[in-house]
Amino acid sequence: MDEVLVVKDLHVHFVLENMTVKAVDGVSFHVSEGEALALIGESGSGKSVLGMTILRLLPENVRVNGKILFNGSNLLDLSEEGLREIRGKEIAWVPQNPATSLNPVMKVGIQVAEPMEIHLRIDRKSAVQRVANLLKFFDINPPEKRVNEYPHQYSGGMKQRALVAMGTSTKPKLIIADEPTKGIDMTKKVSIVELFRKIKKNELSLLLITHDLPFAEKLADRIAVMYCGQIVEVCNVKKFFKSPLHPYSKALLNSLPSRGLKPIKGNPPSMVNPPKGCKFHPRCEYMSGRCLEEPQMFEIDGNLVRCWLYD
Amino acid sequence: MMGYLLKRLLMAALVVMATSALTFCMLSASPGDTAEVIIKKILVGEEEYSPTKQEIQTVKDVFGLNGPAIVLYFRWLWNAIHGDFGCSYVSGLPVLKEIVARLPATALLALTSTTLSVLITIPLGVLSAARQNSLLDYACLAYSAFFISIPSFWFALILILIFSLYLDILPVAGFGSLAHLVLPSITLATGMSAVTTRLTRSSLLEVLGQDYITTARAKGLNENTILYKHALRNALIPVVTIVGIQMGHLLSGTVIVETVFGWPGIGKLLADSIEVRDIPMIQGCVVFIAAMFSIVNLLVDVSYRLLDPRVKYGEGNA
Amino acid sequence: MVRAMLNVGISFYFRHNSIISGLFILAFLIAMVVLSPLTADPTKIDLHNNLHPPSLEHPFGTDNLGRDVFARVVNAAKIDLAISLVIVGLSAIIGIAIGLISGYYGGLIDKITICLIDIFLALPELILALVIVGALGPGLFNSALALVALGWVRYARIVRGSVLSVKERQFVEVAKAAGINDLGLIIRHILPNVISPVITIAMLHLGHSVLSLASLGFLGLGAQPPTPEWGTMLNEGRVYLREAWWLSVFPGLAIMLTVLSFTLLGDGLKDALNPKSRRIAYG
Repeated sequence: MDEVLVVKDLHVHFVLENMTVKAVDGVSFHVSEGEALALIGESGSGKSVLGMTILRLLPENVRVNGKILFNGSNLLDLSEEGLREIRGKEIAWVPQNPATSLNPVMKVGIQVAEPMEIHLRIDRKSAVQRVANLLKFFDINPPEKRVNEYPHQYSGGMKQRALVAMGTSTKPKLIIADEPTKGIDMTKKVSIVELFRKIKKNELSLLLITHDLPFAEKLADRIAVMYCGQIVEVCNVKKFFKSPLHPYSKALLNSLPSRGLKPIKGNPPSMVNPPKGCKFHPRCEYMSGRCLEEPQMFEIDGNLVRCWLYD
Repeated sequence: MMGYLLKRLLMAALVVMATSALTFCMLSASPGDTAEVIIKKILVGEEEYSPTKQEIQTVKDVFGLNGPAIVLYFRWLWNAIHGDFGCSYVSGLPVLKEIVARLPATALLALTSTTLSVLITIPLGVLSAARQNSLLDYACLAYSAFFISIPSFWFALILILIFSLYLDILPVAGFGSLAHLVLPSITLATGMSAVTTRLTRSSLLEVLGQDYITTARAKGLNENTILYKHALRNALIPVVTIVGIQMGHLLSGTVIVETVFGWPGIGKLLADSIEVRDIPMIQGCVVFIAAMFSIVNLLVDVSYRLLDPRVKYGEGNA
Repeated sequence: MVRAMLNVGISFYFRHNSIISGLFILAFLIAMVVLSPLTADPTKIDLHNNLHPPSLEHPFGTDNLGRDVFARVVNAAKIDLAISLVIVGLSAIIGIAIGLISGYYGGLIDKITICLIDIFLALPELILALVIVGALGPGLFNSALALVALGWVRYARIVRGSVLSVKERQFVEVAKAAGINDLGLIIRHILPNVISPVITIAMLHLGHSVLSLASLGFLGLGAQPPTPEWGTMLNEGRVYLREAWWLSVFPGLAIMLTVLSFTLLGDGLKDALNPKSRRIAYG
C-alpha cells in the first residue's frame, strides 16, 4: 500500500520570551492510502500542534525541523503558493471547536463552497448547488434553506457536519480531523462515528487527532499514542485495545470508565522541562534504572513501541 | 426592529429634553440676574454699568423673564415643541432660523472631515494590523499617539502658520471656496482618525487571531482574501460603533475649529453665544447638538444591528 | 542590514518602552516645573521689548507686553498640571464612590446613577463644559469645577461595572459569612479588584484634562489673563499670529508634550496590566 503521509523526525518548538516549549519532540509516523490512523494523547501531549504543523497553520514564533512528506514532496519546503495548492485540496483540515471555526458574518453555504471555488475552479452558482447536495448528504436539512443561513443559526452538531462537508468537498487525499468529539454529548457521539464512517467509504486517508479512545476504537485501523511530544506506541487497533504494549497505553486504557476508571498516578509532564530519559518513567509502574536513558523505538510484530521493556 | 427603533427614538427624545432642562437649570442658576447680565453684556456692553431697577424691570418684561425658573423652563419647552425656540438676545432674530442658516456650513465641514477621516483610518488601520510590528505599524501607532495628544486649536494655528502665512497657498480663515475648506477639515479629520485608526488596528488584530481565520487559511485561501473577505467584515463592526462616538468629538471639535477659522457654523454660533450669555441661543444650540448626537448614535446602533447577522437574525433554530 | 537593525531597534523601543517614553517626557516636564523659580519673572512687563522673536535672552521670545514667553510657559505648566491633577483626583474620588455605592446597593440609587451617566454621555464633554462655564462665568476655578462635574462619570461607569461582576464572586460570599459589614466589604474586598482599570483611565483622563482645560482657556472661558495658562496664552497670541509666530507655537508644544506623555503612560499601563495584548504574528 502506498504511503500518503510520512512524517520523519519532526520537532516543533515554541520559542517564547524566556522559555522554549517542545511541543513535538522527534516524531515519526506514516499514514497509508485509505487508512485511518488515530493519534491518541491527553490534552497537552502535542497532538493538535502536530496536526496543525502538517498544514503549517502555526504562528511565526515556532521552529519546525524535520520532514513531512506528502506525495513525495516535503511540505516544510514548499512555498506559500505551493502550500495553498495542498491546503483544502489535497489535505483537508476539520478543526476543533465548530462554534468558533466558522466565520460568524458569512453564510455557511458560501464558506463551504469556498474550497470548491478555488481549487476545483467552478463558479459560485455551481459550487453552491454542490454545497446543497453535500449538506443533504450530511443530514443538514432542508439544504436549500441552510445554505443561506449563518453559523449561529446552526446547532453545534450541524456546524460540525458543515465543517466535515467543507473538508470533503474537494475529495482530498487526506483529512486531518482535530478532536472531532470534543465537547460533544455522549448521546451524540454515535452520530459523529457514523459521520466519519460515511466519509471513510470514499477511500480517503484519515488522520484522527483525539483523546477519545472508544471513538478511536470504532474508526481507526491503527493507533499512534503520543506522550509529552513523542510517539510512544504505534499499534494495530485490535491488538491495541486487547493488549497494548507501552505502559502508558495500558494506563490509558485502565483509566476508561469501561475498564475501571483507574487514574494514572503522578502529574502530566512539563513540556518546558520534560523528564530526562523516558518521558513517562516518573509515572510508570515498571520503572527501572534503565529508564533514565531515552529509549528508542522497538519493533514487535509490525508494531512499534518506545520502551526498554521490549528491548 | 420597528419596536426597537421606536424605543430608541423615545429614549433619544427624553435625553435631549433632559439635556435642555439641565442646561436651562445651569443658565438660570448662574450668578447675576439674567436681566442684569443682558443689560451689562449686550445692551450696554460695559461690565461696570449699574442698571436701575426700572431698567431691569423693562428688560424683564421685554424678554419675558418674569417668574420662577421652572415656569420659564416649561414655557420654553412648550414653545420649543411647537418649533419656537425664542429669539436671540443679541440679534433679535428667531433662534431656530439662525441655527438653520448656519447648518449647511457645519454639515459641509462635518461631512468632509468624516470622509477624510475614514479615508485615512481604514487603510492605515488595515495595513498596520496586516504588517504587524513592521516599520509601517509603528509609524501608524506614532501617528495616532501624536494626533490624540495634539490640541486641535494648536494644530489649526500651525497649519495656518505654514500654509497661509508662510507658503500663502491657502486662505487664513473664512468661508466661500474649496480652499477655505481644506485646513479646517484636515484639522478635524486628523483628530478623529487618530482614535479610529487605533481601534481598527486592534479590532482587526483580534479578529485575525480567531479560529475561523485558521480555518480559512487551512482551506488554501491566500492572505489577501483572508484579510479582506473574511477578517475585515468582522473587524469593521465595532469600528462602525466608534465612528458614531467620534461624531460626538466632531461636534466638540467644530466649536473650536470654526472659531479658529472663522467658519460660520453652529459651533462658532455656540461659542459666540456663550461669550455674551445669549441664553435662548445657547439653549437652542445645545438642544440641536444633543439631538444631532442622539440621531447619529441611533443610526450607528441601527447599522450595527444590520451589519452583524448574529443580531439581525437573532438566535437561530436548530 | 541597516534597515533590519532599525527595525529591531524601533520594535524593542516601542514594545517595552511606551511607559518609559512617557515617563521620560513627564520627568522633563516636572523638571521644568521644579526649576521654574530660576526662570525670568513671568509677570515683568517691558513694553520696549515686546514681540521680540526667540533669542538667547528670551528663548521663546517675548509677548505683546514684553513678558518672557519661556517663563510664562513654564509657569503655566505649574497651573495646567496641578489643576489637572486636582480635577482627576476629585473626579476619581467622586466617581469611584458613586460607582461603588451604586453598584453595590443597586435599587433607586443605581437607577438614578445610570440615568445620570447616560445623560452625561449623551453630549460631547466639551460642549457641556462650555455651557457650565458659560453659566457660572469664565475662570480657572469654574473650569475646573465644570471638568470635575463631567469627569466623574467615566470612573463611576467602570467601577459600577466591576462591582457588579465582583459582587457575585465566591470570596465575597466567604467574607460576608465571616460577618464583615458592608463598608468593610466594599473597601477591603471589592475596591482592590476594581482599581486596576481605574488607574489606566485616570492616566488617560489626565491627558484629557489638560486638553480640556487648555481648550476652555483658548475659547476665553478658562484661566483669565494675566494668569499664565497654555490655552489662554494661545488665545492671546492668536491676534499676533502674523507678526509673532512664537506666541502660538511654544505654549501649544507644551500642551502636546504633556498630553503625549500621559497618553503614552496610559497606553503602556494598559498593555502592562492586560496580558491579552501580547503580540503574536500569524502567517
